[in-house]
Amino acid sequence: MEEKKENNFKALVKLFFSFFRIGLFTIGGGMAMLPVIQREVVVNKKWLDEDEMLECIALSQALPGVIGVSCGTYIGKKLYGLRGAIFATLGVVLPSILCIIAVVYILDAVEGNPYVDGALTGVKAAVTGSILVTVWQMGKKAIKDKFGWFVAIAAFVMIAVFKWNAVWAVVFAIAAGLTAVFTGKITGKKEKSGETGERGTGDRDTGYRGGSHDTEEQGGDNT
Amino acid sequence: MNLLILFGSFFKIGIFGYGGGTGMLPLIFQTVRDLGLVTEKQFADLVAVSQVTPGPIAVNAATFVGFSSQGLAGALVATLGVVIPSFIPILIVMRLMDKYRETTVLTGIMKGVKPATPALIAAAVIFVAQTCIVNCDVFSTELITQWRDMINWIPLAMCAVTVVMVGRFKVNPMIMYGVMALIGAFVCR
Repeated sequence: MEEKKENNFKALVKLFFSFFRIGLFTIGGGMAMLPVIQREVVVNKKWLDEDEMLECIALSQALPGVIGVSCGTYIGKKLYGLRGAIFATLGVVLPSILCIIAVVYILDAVEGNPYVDGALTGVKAAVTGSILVTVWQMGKKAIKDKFGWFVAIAAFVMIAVFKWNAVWAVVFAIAAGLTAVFTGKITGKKEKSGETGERGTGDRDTGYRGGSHDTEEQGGDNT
Repeated sequence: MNLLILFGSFFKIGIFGYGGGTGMLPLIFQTVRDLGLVTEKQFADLVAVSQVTPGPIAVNAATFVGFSSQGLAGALVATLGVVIPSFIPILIVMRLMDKYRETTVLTGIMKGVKPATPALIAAAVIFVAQTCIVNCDVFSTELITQWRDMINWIPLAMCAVTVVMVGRFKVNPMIMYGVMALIGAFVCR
């Protein structure tokens, strides 16, 4: 570690600017950022191989928080330790902060302008539509069995219909997933990393039972 | 309203925030509304703007709420609050993973979180729709009994056109945002 210290600063600055670019040129948030990060980190810079990148993506999605930041932290840490993690995170976050501060000033300046309000209404309507398409596309990939439908519908109903805090939906989803995997383990079924979605009927039943058990717990917490 | 509460609120969003920026929106929406820092309309405007500005949506939201309410210090504190929960767990897990390759717990979390993500995003759709397409709660009897007054037909049509263009004809959403902004500026004012 010590002997690398001299040329490390330059490398850290490079890392920072890579992630600054990623932050600056990906529009639409975390999920949209993943392919861009992959191209920069695996193809262009060859900092990680495919497997490491997959692990990075899986971790970023399994752990809470901002996906872009999790990815930056993972890659920075892998390359240059804690300092790398900090530089990459700063890089990915900074463009966002600068742009939004500008946006606040602009929105303040145009406040009440009917043309701007109309334009924003148009964008919001279009955003509603395009996110709906995202829900559809993502749902097709992520929901493959009864267990998936159960978790998805329960989470949606909790937030949108019952107006519970989204925290509960997340806690419920995690508890259901953990119960499904652990009960699957105990009954001797091998769970294959849960990524493929290809699972036997036996497993599916276990998962479903695990899930319903959790709803009762969850309901108890909330009343 | 001090900086500590702002930090705590966004820290909570960071800890329980799953599903990427859009998936985190319901949680951010609810928290911001409870704090009373910005109005729902302001926040929905930000969500719209976030689709065409760079960066993670959660960071955009934190900066927006922090800066609007407490200036630069607020922006930094809120952003730090939302970033730390993504930063620290991954460092811990990376350390642990070198020892334990087999991570049943992570598999379990993924198993639950993956199908929940489209649900969280669908909930975000509802929140945004309530600021432009319908004038009341989507899941209320009002919408059925007084549907004439509650539905804004032009934004609804814009939404439907976007669904078809993006979903069926694979048009880049950014183009649709631009087109609808132009149409909206003259039709929705």
